[in-house]
Amino acid sequence: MNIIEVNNLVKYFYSEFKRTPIKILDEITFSVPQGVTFGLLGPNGAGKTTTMKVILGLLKPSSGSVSIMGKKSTDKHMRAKIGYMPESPYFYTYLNGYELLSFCSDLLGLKGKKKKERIDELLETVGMTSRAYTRLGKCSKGMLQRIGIAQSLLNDPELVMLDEPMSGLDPLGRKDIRDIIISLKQQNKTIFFNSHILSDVQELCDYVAVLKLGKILDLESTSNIINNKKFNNLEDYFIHIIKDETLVDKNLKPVEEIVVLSGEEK
Amino acid sequence: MDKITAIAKNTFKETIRDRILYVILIFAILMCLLAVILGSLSIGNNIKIIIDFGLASINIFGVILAIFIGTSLVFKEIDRRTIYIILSKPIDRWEFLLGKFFGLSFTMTIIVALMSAVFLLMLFVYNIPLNQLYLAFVSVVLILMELYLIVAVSILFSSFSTPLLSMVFASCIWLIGHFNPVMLELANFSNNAMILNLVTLFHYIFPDLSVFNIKNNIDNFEYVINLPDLGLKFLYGIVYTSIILLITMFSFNRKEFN
Repeated sequence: MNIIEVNNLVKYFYSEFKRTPIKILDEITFSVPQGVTFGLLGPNGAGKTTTMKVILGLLKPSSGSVSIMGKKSTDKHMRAKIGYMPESPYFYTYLNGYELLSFCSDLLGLKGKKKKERIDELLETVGMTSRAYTRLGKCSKGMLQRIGIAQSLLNDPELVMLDEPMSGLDPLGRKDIRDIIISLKQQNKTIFFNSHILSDVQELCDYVAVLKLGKILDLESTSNIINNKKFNNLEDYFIHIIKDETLVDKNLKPVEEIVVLSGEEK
Repeated sequence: MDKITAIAKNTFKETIRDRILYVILIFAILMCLLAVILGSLSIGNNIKIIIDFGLASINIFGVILAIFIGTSLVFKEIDRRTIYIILSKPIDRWEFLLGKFFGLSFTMTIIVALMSAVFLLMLFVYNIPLNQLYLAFVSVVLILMELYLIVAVSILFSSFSTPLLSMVFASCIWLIGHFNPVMLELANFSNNAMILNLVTLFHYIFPDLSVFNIKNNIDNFEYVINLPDLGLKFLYGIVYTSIILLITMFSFNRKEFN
Protein backbone atom coordinates (compact mmCIF):
# COMPACT_ATOMS: atom_id res chain seq x y z
CA MET A 1 0.00 0.00 0.00
CA ASN A 2 1.26 3.45 -0.90
CA ILE A 3 1.16 5.90 1.97
CA ILE A 4 1.90 8.92 -0.21
CA GLU A 5 0.90 9.24 -3.86
CA VAL A 6 1.81 12.33 -5.80
CA ASN A 7 0.62 12.51 -9.42
CA ASN A 8 1.65 15.18 -11.93
CA LEU A 9 1.82 17.74 -9.16
CA VAL A 10 2.25 21.30 -10.36
CA LYS A 11 2.51 24.25 -8.01
CA TYR A 12 2.70 27.89 -8.94
CA PHE A 13 3.47 30.75 -6.62
CA TYR A 14 2.48 34.23 -7.63
CA SER A 15 4.61 37.35 -7.25
CA GLU A 16 3.22 39.83 -4.75
CA PHE A 17 2.14 42.70 -7.02
CA LYS A 18 2.22 41.65 -10.65
CA ARG A 19 0.74 38.21 -9.85
CA THR A 20 3.27 36.69 -12.27
CA PRO A 21 3.15 32.90 -11.92
CA ILE A 22 6.38 31.20 -10.86
CA LYS A 23 6.44 27.44 -11.37
CA ILE A 24 7.76 25.85 -8.18
CA LEU A 25 6.81 22.22 -8.84
CA ASP A 26 6.71 20.90 -12.37
CA GLU A 27 4.59 17.79 -12.83
CA ILE A 28 6.23 15.70 -10.16
CA THR A 29 5.09 12.13 -9.67
CA PHE A 30 6.22 9.68 -7.02
CA SER A 31 4.84 7.33 -4.42
CA VAL A 32 6.02 6.22 -1.02
CA PRO A 33 5.03 2.70 0.07
CA GLN A 34 4.25 1.85 3.65
CA GLY A 35 7.22 1.31 5.97
CA VAL A 36 9.70 3.00 3.65
CA THR A 37 12.07 5.81 4.58
CA PHE A 38 12.03 8.20 1.66
CA GLY A 39 14.46 11.08 1.24
CA LEU A 40 13.71 14.05 -0.96
CA LEU A 41 16.99 15.66 -1.95
CA GLY A 42 17.74 18.79 -3.85
CA PRO A 43 19.63 22.07 -3.77
CA ASN A 44 18.14 25.11 -2.05
CA GLY A 45 15.03 26.34 -3.85
CA ALA A 46 14.42 23.01 -5.57
CA GLY A 47 10.88 22.74 -4.12
CA LYS A 48 11.42 20.20 -1.34
CA THR A 49 9.62 22.12 1.40
CA THR A 50 6.85 23.11 -1.04
CA THR A 51 6.34 19.43 -1.88
CA MET A 52 6.05 18.64 1.80
CA LYS A 53 3.59 21.48 2.39
CA VAL A 54 1.38 20.34 -0.49
CA ILE A 55 1.42 16.79 0.87
CA LEU A 56 0.35 18.16 4.26
CA GLY A 57 -2.41 20.29 2.76
CA LEU A 58 -0.78 23.56 3.84
CA LEU A 59 -0.61 24.47 0.15
CA LYS A 60 -3.09 23.51 -2.54
CA PRO A 61 -1.88 21.92 -5.79
CA SER A 62 -2.20 24.17 -8.86
CA SER A 63 -2.84 20.94 -10.76
CA GLY A 64 -2.26 17.25 -10.24
CA SER A 65 -3.16 15.32 -7.15
CA VAL A 66 -1.79 14.25 -3.80
CA SER A 67 -3.23 11.52 -1.67
CA ILE A 68 -2.18 10.16 1.69
CA MET A 69 -3.31 6.70 2.71
CA GLY A 70 -5.80 6.89 -0.15
CA LYS A 71 -7.38 10.13 1.05
CA LYS A 72 -7.06 13.74 -0.07
CA SER A 73 -4.24 15.62 1.62
CA THR A 74 -6.73 18.24 2.82
CA ASP A 75 -8.70 15.63 4.80
CA LYS A 76 -8.51 16.66 8.45
CA HIS A 77 -8.94 13.13 9.83
CA MET A 78 -6.06 11.87 7.73
CA ARG A 79 -3.78 14.39 9.46
CA ALA A 80 -4.40 12.57 12.75
CA LYS A 81 -2.11 9.85 11.35
CA ILE A 82 0.69 12.21 10.34
CA GLY A 83 3.48 13.71 12.38
CA TYR A 84 5.22 16.75 10.95
CA MET A 85 8.25 18.74 11.97
CA PRO A 86 8.87 21.89 9.92
CA GLU A 87 12.32 23.15 9.00
CA SER A 88 13.98 25.12 11.83
CA PRO A 89 10.87 24.86 13.97
CA TYR A 90 9.83 28.08 15.66
CA PHE A 91 7.72 27.57 18.69
CA TYR A 92 5.87 29.81 21.07
CA THR A 93 8.65 31.42 23.07
CA TYR A 94 6.30 31.99 26.02
CA LEU A 95 5.70 28.27 26.49
CA ASN A 96 8.02 25.67 27.93
CA GLY A 97 8.60 22.30 26.29
CA TYR A 98 6.02 20.53 28.42
CA GLU A 99 3.38 23.19 27.76
CA LEU A 100 3.99 23.01 24.01
CA LEU A 101 3.62 19.23 23.99
CA SER A 102 0.50 19.55 26.12
CA PHE A 103 -0.96 22.09 23.68
CA CYS A 104 -0.17 19.86 20.68
CA SER A 105 -1.69 16.88 22.52
CA ASP A 106 -4.90 18.87 22.99
CA LEU A 107 -5.03 19.50 19.25
CA LEU A 108 -4.61 15.77 18.68
CA GLY A 109 -7.35 14.92 21.15
CA LEU A 110 -5.07 13.24 23.72
CA LYS A 111 -6.40 13.55 27.24
CA GLY A 112 -5.74 12.82 30.88
CA LYS A 113 -3.31 10.14 31.97
CA LYS A 114 -2.64 8.94 28.44
CA LYS A 115 -1.60 12.44 27.44
CA LYS A 116 0.73 12.89 30.40
CA GLU A 117 2.32 9.48 29.88
CA ARG A 118 2.88 10.12 26.18
CA ILE A 119 4.46 13.53 26.84
CA ASP A 120 6.77 12.09 29.54
CA GLU A 121 7.72 9.19 27.28
CA LEU A 122 8.59 11.46 24.35
CA LEU A 123 10.49 13.94 26.50
CA GLU A 124 12.56 10.97 27.62
CA THR A 125 13.00 9.73 24.02
CA VAL A 126 14.29 13.08 22.77
CA GLY A 127 16.40 13.64 25.89
CA MET A 128 14.51 16.71 27.09
CA THR A 129 13.14 15.50 30.43
CA SER A 130 15.48 17.70 32.46
CA ARG A 131 14.72 20.74 30.26
CA ALA A 132 10.98 20.17 29.96
CA TYR A 133 10.18 23.32 31.92
CA THR A 134 12.67 25.63 30.21
CA ARG A 135 10.97 28.38 28.22
CA LEU A 136 11.32 27.64 24.51
CA GLY A 137 12.53 31.20 23.98
CA LYS A 138 15.62 30.27 25.96
CA CYS A 139 16.23 26.90 24.25
CA SER A 140 19.06 26.25 21.79
CA LYS A 141 18.37 25.19 18.22
CA GLY A 142 19.17 21.58 19.09
CA MET A 143 16.70 21.61 21.97
CA LEU A 144 13.99 23.09 19.76
CA GLN A 145 14.69 20.42 17.15
CA ARG A 146 14.22 17.74 19.81
CA ILE A 147 10.96 19.27 20.98
CA GLY A 148 9.96 19.52 17.31
CA ILE A 149 10.53 15.80 16.85
CA ALA A 150 8.66 15.05 20.10
CA GLN A 151 5.56 17.02 19.02
CA SER A 152 5.57 15.24 15.66
CA LEU A 153 5.41 11.84 17.38
CA LEU A 154 2.71 12.58 19.97
CA ASN A 155 -0.03 10.82 17.99
CA ASP A 156 2.15 7.77 17.26
CA PRO A 157 1.83 8.63 13.55
CA GLU A 158 1.89 6.19 10.65
CA LEU A 159 3.62 8.76 8.49
CA VAL A 160 6.37 10.99 9.87
CA MET A 161 7.37 13.99 7.78
CA LEU A 162 10.57 15.74 8.79
CA ASP A 163 11.82 18.85 7.04
CA GLU A 164 15.59 19.16 7.48
CA PRO A 165 15.57 17.39 10.86
CA MET A 166 19.36 17.53 11.25
CA SER A 167 20.07 21.05 10.04
CA GLY A 168 22.02 23.21 12.47
CA LEU A 169 22.65 20.40 14.92
CA ASP A 170 26.00 19.48 16.41
CA PRO A 171 27.28 15.91 15.78
CA LEU A 172 25.80 14.68 19.06
CA GLY A 173 22.41 16.20 18.31
CA ARG A 174 22.50 14.71 14.81
CA LYS A 175 23.25 11.29 16.23
CA ASP A 176 20.34 11.55 18.67
CA ILE A 177 17.90 12.52 15.90
CA ARG A 178 19.34 9.76 13.68
CA ASP A 179 18.75 7.24 16.47
CA ILE A 180 15.15 8.39 16.80
CA ILE A 181 14.60 7.93 13.06
CA ILE A 182 16.20 4.47 13.19
CA SER A 183 13.88 3.53 16.03
CA LEU A 184 10.89 4.78 13.96
CA LYS A 185 12.08 2.64 11.06
CA GLN A 186 12.20 -0.35 13.37
CA GLN A 187 8.57 0.35 14.26
CA ASN A 188 7.79 0.12 10.52
CA LYS A 189 6.75 3.77 10.29
CA THR A 190 6.77 5.49 6.92
CA ILE A 191 9.23 8.35 7.04
CA PHE A 192 9.49 11.13 4.50
CA PHE A 193 12.26 13.62 4.94
CA ASN A 194 14.17 16.41 3.31
CA SER A 195 17.79 16.83 4.13
CA HIS A 196 21.03 18.35 2.93
CA ILE A 197 23.09 16.07 5.13
CA LEU A 198 23.63 13.29 2.63
CA SER A 199 25.61 10.98 4.90
CA ASP A 200 22.55 10.74 7.14
CA VAL A 201 20.25 10.25 4.17
CA GLN A 202 22.50 7.45 2.92
CA GLU A 203 22.35 5.75 6.29
CA LEU A 204 18.63 6.20 6.88
CA CYS A 205 16.76 6.22 3.58
CA ASP A 206 15.56 3.28 1.53
CA TYR A 207 14.79 5.45 -1.49
CA VAL A 208 15.77 8.91 -2.58
CA ALA A 209 14.36 11.28 -5.14
CA VAL A 210 16.40 14.19 -6.46
CA LEU A 211 14.52 17.39 -7.10
CA LYS A 212 15.92 20.31 -9.08
CA LEU A 213 14.00 23.44 -10.08
CA GLY A 214 10.73 21.72 -9.30
CA LYS A 215 11.39 18.59 -11.36
CA ILE A 216 12.31 15.15 -10.10
CA LEU A 217 15.54 14.19 -11.87
CA ASP A 218 15.92 10.72 -10.46
CA LEU A 219 14.31 8.28 -8.06
CA GLU A 220 16.41 5.39 -6.90
CA SER A 221 16.94 2.89 -4.15
CA THR A 222 19.82 3.92 -1.86
CA SER A 223 21.13 0.34 -1.95
CA ASN A 224 21.35 0.45 -5.76
CA ILE A 225 23.20 3.75 -5.69
CA ILE A 226 25.80 2.46 -3.26
CA ASN A 227 26.07 -1.10 -4.54
CA ASN A 228 26.53 -0.44 -8.24
CA LYS A 229 30.00 0.97 -7.50
CA LYS A 230 29.52 3.90 -9.88
CA PHE A 231 29.43 6.28 -6.97
CA ASN A 232 31.44 6.23 -3.76
CA ASN A 233 28.59 7.58 -1.75
CA LEU A 234 25.28 9.38 -1.98
CA GLU A 235 26.99 12.74 -2.24
CA ASP A 236 28.79 11.69 -5.47
CA TYR A 237 25.49 10.41 -6.84
CA PHE A 238 23.69 13.61 -5.87
CA ILE A 239 26.27 15.90 -7.49
CA HIS A 240 26.28 13.74 -10.62
CA ILE A 241 22.50 13.88 -10.93
CA ILE A 242 22.24 17.59 -10.25
CA LYS A 243 24.87 18.37 -12.91
CA ASP A 244 23.43 16.00 -15.52
CA GLU A 245 21.24 18.19 -17.73
CA THR A 246 19.97 15.20 -19.76
CA LEU A 247 17.96 13.82 -16.87
CA VAL A 248 15.25 16.47 -16.89
CA ASP A 249 12.80 14.56 -19.11
CA LYS A 250 13.68 11.09 -17.95
CA ASN A 251 10.74 8.77 -17.34
CA LEU A 252 10.99 7.59 -13.76
CA LYS A 253 9.97 4.22 -12.43
CA PRO A 254 7.74 4.19 -9.39
CA VAL A 255 9.33 3.06 -6.13
CA GLU A 256 7.66 -0.35 -6.20
CA GLU A 257 9.11 -1.09 -9.64
CA ILE A 258 12.68 -0.32 -8.67
CA VAL A 259 14.55 -3.58 -8.46
CA VAL A 260 17.15 -3.53 -5.77
CA LEU A 261 20.24 -4.76 -7.58
CA SER A 262 22.31 -6.35 -4.89
CA GLY A 263 22.83 -6.26 -1.16
CA GLU A 264 20.03 -6.19 1.28
CA GLU A 265 17.47 -3.44 1.04
CA LYS A 266 17.55 -1.21 4.08
CA MET B 1 -14.81 22.27 20.59
CA ASP B 2 -11.78 20.84 22.45
CA LYS B 3 -9.48 22.13 19.72
CA ILE B 4 -11.01 25.61 19.75
CA THR B 5 -10.58 25.63 23.55
CA ALA B 6 -6.94 24.51 23.19
CA ILE B 7 -6.18 27.35 20.73
CA ALA B 8 -8.10 29.83 22.90
CA LYS B 9 -6.17 28.76 26.01
CA ASN B 10 -2.88 29.09 24.17
CA THR B 11 -3.86 32.52 22.83
CA PHE B 12 -4.86 33.62 26.33
CA LYS B 13 -1.46 32.47 27.64
CA GLU B 14 0.27 34.28 24.80
CA THR B 15 -1.50 37.55 25.50
CA ILE B 16 -1.23 37.54 29.28
CA ARG B 17 2.48 36.76 29.08
CA ASP B 18 3.00 39.83 26.91
CA ARG B 19 4.54 42.63 29.00
CA ILE B 20 2.97 45.39 26.92
CA LEU B 21 -0.40 44.29 28.28
CA TYR B 22 0.59 45.16 31.83
CA VAL B 23 2.06 48.52 30.87
CA ILE B 24 -1.20 49.52 29.17
CA LEU B 25 -3.31 48.04 31.95
CA ILE B 26 -1.46 49.99 34.67
CA PHE B 27 -1.78 53.12 32.58
CA ALA B 28 -5.52 52.53 32.12
CA ILE B 29 -6.09 52.01 35.85
CA LEU B 30 -4.14 55.20 36.57
CA MET B 31 -6.41 57.04 34.14
CA CYS B 32 -9.48 55.75 36.04
CA LEU B 33 -7.94 57.12 39.24
CA LEU B 34 -7.14 60.38 37.48
CA ALA B 35 -10.83 60.65 36.62
CA VAL B 36 -11.56 60.89 40.34
CA ILE B 37 -8.98 63.62 40.83
CA LEU B 38 -10.34 65.55 37.85
CA GLY B 39 -13.86 65.11 39.15
CA SER B 40 -13.01 66.48 42.58
CA LEU B 41 -11.22 69.48 41.02
CA SER B 42 -14.05 70.41 38.72
CA ILE B 43 -16.81 72.85 39.56
CA GLY B 44 -20.34 71.56 39.25
CA ASN B 45 -21.14 68.09 37.95
CA ASN B 46 -18.08 66.18 39.13
CA ILE B 47 -19.83 62.81 38.92
CA LYS B 48 -20.36 63.25 35.18
CA ILE B 49 -16.63 63.97 34.76
CA ILE B 50 -15.65 60.91 36.75
CA ILE B 51 -18.03 58.67 34.79
CA ASP B 52 -17.17 60.11 31.38
CA PHE B 53 -13.45 60.06 31.95
CA GLY B 54 -13.48 56.60 33.52
CA LEU B 55 -15.61 55.00 30.80
CA ALA B 56 -13.63 56.73 28.05
CA SER B 57 -10.40 55.38 29.59
CA ILE B 58 -11.77 51.83 29.68
CA ASN B 59 -13.01 52.17 26.11
CA ILE B 60 -9.89 53.73 24.60
CA PHE B 61 -7.35 51.54 26.39
CA GLY B 62 -9.47 48.50 25.63
CA VAL B 63 -9.53 49.39 21.95
CA ILE B 64 -5.78 50.09 21.94
CA LEU B 65 -5.14 46.64 23.41
CA ALA B 66 -7.65 44.86 21.17
CA ILE B 67 -6.15 46.44 18.05
CA PHE B 68 -2.53 46.16 19.21
CA ILE B 69 -2.76 42.48 20.14
CA GLY B 70 -5.45 41.44 17.65
CA THR B 71 -3.67 42.76 14.58
CA SER B 72 -0.53 40.75 15.27
CA LEU B 73 -2.26 37.59 16.48
CA VAL B 74 -2.58 35.60 13.24
CA PHE B 75 0.23 37.43 11.45
CA LYS B 76 2.71 36.35 14.13
CA GLU B 77 1.65 32.71 13.73
CA ILE B 78 2.31 32.90 9.99
CA ASP B 79 5.47 35.01 10.26
CA ARG B 80 7.04 32.80 12.93
CA ARG B 81 5.80 29.68 11.16
CA THR B 82 4.16 28.31 14.30
CA ILE B 83 1.01 27.92 12.22
CA TYR B 84 2.58 24.96 10.38
CA ILE B 85 2.66 22.98 13.60
CA ILE B 86 -1.00 23.74 14.27
CA LEU B 87 -2.47 23.28 10.80
CA SER B 88 -0.60 20.02 10.24
CA LYS B 89 -2.66 18.60 13.11
CA PRO B 90 -6.25 17.41 12.63
CA ILE B 91 -7.78 20.85 13.01
CA ASP B 92 -9.85 22.96 10.64
CA ARG B 93 -8.73 26.48 9.85
CA TRP B 94 -12.00 27.93 11.14
CA GLU B 95 -11.38 26.20 14.47
CA PHE B 96 -7.98 27.88 14.64
CA LEU B 97 -9.51 31.31 13.94
CA LEU B 98 -12.33 30.87 16.42
CA GLY B 99 -9.81 29.77 19.04
CA LYS B 100 -7.78 32.91 18.40
CA PHE B 101 -10.91 35.06 18.65
CA PHE B 102 -12.16 33.50 21.88
CA GLY B 103 -8.68 33.55 23.42
CA LEU B 104 -8.19 37.27 22.86
CA SER B 105 -11.81 38.01 23.77
CA PHE B 106 -11.27 36.25 27.09
CA THR B 107 -8.14 38.35 27.69
CA MET B 108 -10.15 41.49 26.90
CA THR B 109 -12.86 40.39 29.33
CA ILE B 110 -10.30 39.99 32.13
CA ILE B 111 -8.71 43.36 31.35
CA VAL B 112 -12.02 45.21 31.18
CA ALA B 113 -13.11 43.48 34.40
CA LEU B 114 -9.95 44.70 36.16
CA MET B 115 -10.31 48.26 34.86
CA SER B 116 -14.03 48.29 35.66
CA ALA B 117 -13.47 46.97 39.17
CA VAL B 118 -11.29 50.02 39.91
CA PHE B 119 -13.73 52.34 38.15
CA LEU B 120 -16.90 51.01 39.79
CA LEU B 121 -15.20 50.98 43.18
CA MET B 122 -14.44 54.68 42.75
CA LEU B 123 -18.07 55.37 41.87
CA PHE B 124 -19.18 53.37 44.89
CA VAL B 125 -16.84 55.33 47.18
CA TYR B 126 -18.33 58.53 45.77
CA ASN B 127 -21.80 57.35 46.82
CA ILE B 128 -23.16 57.50 43.31
CA PRO B 129 -26.85 56.55 43.14
CA LEU B 130 -27.54 52.92 42.40
CA ASN B 131 -29.32 53.73 39.15
CA GLN B 132 -26.21 55.44 37.80
CA LEU B 133 -23.97 52.70 39.14
CA TYR B 134 -26.11 50.17 37.28
CA LEU B 135 -25.93 52.22 34.07
CA ALA B 136 -22.16 52.51 34.48
CA PHE B 137 -21.99 48.72 34.76
CA VAL B 138 -24.16 48.27 31.63
CA SER B 139 -21.93 50.78 29.82
CA VAL B 140 -18.90 48.67 30.65
CA VAL B 141 -20.61 45.52 29.35
CA LEU B 142 -21.47 47.34 26.11
CA ILE B 143 -17.88 48.54 25.81
CA LEU B 144 -16.87 44.90 26.07
CA MET B 145 -19.27 44.02 23.25
CA GLU B 146 -17.65 46.74 21.15
CA LEU B 147 -14.23 45.33 21.98
CA TYR B 148 -15.24 41.83 20.84
CA LEU B 149 -16.26 43.36 17.52
CA ILE B 150 -12.93 45.21 17.27
CA VAL B 151 -11.06 41.97 18.12
CA ALA B 152 -12.85 40.27 15.19
CA VAL B 153 -12.01 43.19 12.86
CA SER B 154 -8.34 43.13 13.99
CA ILE B 155 -8.10 39.37 13.40
CA LEU B 156 -9.65 39.80 9.95
CA PHE B 157 -6.92 42.25 8.94
CA SER B 158 -4.24 40.26 10.73
CA SER B 159 -5.05 37.23 8.57
CA PHE B 160 -3.92 38.93 5.36
CA SER B 161 -1.96 42.04 6.22
CA THR B 162 1.03 43.20 8.25
CA PRO B 163 0.43 44.34 11.85
CA LEU B 164 1.17 47.99 11.05
CA LEU B 165 -1.28 48.15 8.14
CA SER B 166 -3.82 46.12 10.09
CA MET B 167 -3.55 48.59 12.97
CA VAL B 168 -4.25 51.48 10.59
CA PHE B 169 -7.22 49.64 9.00
CA ALA B 170 -8.71 48.52 12.32
CA SER B 171 -8.30 51.99 13.85
CA CYS B 172 -10.05 53.50 10.83
CA ILE B 173 -12.94 51.06 11.22
CA TRP B 174 -13.19 52.01 14.90
CA LEU B 175 -13.21 55.73 14.10
CA ILE B 176 -15.71 55.33 11.25
CA GLY B 177 -17.81 53.13 13.54
CA HIS B 178 -18.08 55.88 16.13
CA PHE B 179 -18.79 58.64 13.61
CA ASN B 180 -21.16 56.47 11.59
CA PRO B 181 -24.48 58.10 12.70
CA VAL B 182 -22.94 61.60 12.63
CA MET B 183 -21.85 61.07 9.02
CA LEU B 184 -25.32 59.95 8.06
CA GLU B 185 -26.84 62.99 9.74
CA LEU B 186 -24.45 65.32 7.92
CA ALA B 187 -25.14 63.58 4.61
CA ASN B 188 -28.86 64.16 5.13
CA PHE B 189 -28.17 67.89 4.98
CA SER B 190 -26.49 67.45 1.62
CA ASN B 191 -28.45 68.05 -1.56
CA ASN B 192 -26.22 65.67 -3.45
CA ALA B 193 -28.04 62.36 -3.85
CA MET B 194 -24.82 60.53 -4.70
CA ILE B 195 -23.17 61.58 -1.43
CA LEU B 196 -26.26 60.60 0.52
CA ASN B 197 -26.41 57.19 -1.17
CA LEU B 198 -22.71 56.62 -0.64
CA VAL B 199 -22.83 57.55 3.04
CA THR B 200 -25.96 55.43 3.52
CA LEU B 201 -24.13 52.48 1.95
CA PHE B 202 -21.15 53.12 4.25
CA HIS B 203 -23.55 53.34 7.18
CA TYR B 204 -24.72 49.79 6.54
CA ILE B 205 -21.34 48.31 5.64
CA PHE B 206 -19.34 49.72 8.54
CA PRO B 207 -20.30 48.93 12.13
CA ASP B 208 -22.27 51.53 14.06
CA LEU B 209 -20.28 51.55 17.29
CA SER B 210 -22.34 54.41 18.75
CA VAL B 211 -24.91 51.68 19.49
CA PHE B 212 -22.67 50.55 22.35
CA ASN B 213 -22.22 54.03 23.78
CA ILE B 214 -24.74 55.00 26.45
CA LYS B 215 -22.43 57.03 28.65
CA ASN B 216 -23.99 60.36 27.64
CA ASN B 217 -27.21 59.22 29.31
CA ILE B 218 -25.74 58.13 32.62
CA ASP B 219 -26.03 61.49 34.40
CA ASN B 220 -29.61 61.76 33.21
CA PHE B 221 -31.59 60.37 36.12
CA GLU B 222 -34.63 59.79 33.99
CA TYR B 223 -32.81 57.59 31.50
CA VAL B 224 -33.79 53.98 31.90
CA ILE B 225 -32.31 51.35 29.66
CA ASN B 226 -34.94 48.76 28.94
CA LEU B 227 -34.09 45.14 28.36
CA PRO B 228 -35.38 44.81 24.76
CA ASP B 229 -33.29 47.81 23.77
CA LEU B 230 -30.25 46.30 25.49
CA GLY B 231 -30.98 42.93 23.85
CA LEU B 232 -31.03 44.58 20.41
CA LYS B 233 -27.65 46.16 21.09
CA PHE B 234 -26.22 42.77 22.01
CA LEU B 235 -27.84 41.15 19.00
CA TYR B 236 -26.33 43.80 16.72
CA GLY B 237 -22.89 43.19 18.23
CA ILE B 238 -23.17 39.39 17.98
CA VAL B 239 -24.46 39.43 14.39
CA TYR B 240 -21.86 41.95 13.18
CA THR B 241 -19.00 40.12 14.95
CA SER B 242 -20.19 36.79 13.50
CA ILE B 243 -20.29 38.24 9.97
CA ILE B 244 -16.72 39.55 10.35
CA LEU B 245 -15.57 36.15 11.64
CA LEU B 246 -17.28 34.38 8.73
CA ILE B 247 -15.51 36.68 6.23
CA THR B 248 -12.19 35.99 8.01
CA MET B 249 -12.80 32.22 7.90
CA PHE B 250 -13.64 32.37 4.20
CA SER B 251 -10.50 34.36 3.34
CA PHE B 252 -8.29 32.30 5.68
CA ASN B 253 -9.52 29.05 4.18
CA ARG B 254 -8.22 30.13 0.80
CA LYS B 255 -4.89 31.29 2.19
CA GLU B 256 -1.70 29.49 1.24
CA PHE B 257 1.27 29.30 3.56
CA ASN B 258 4.27 29.63 1.22
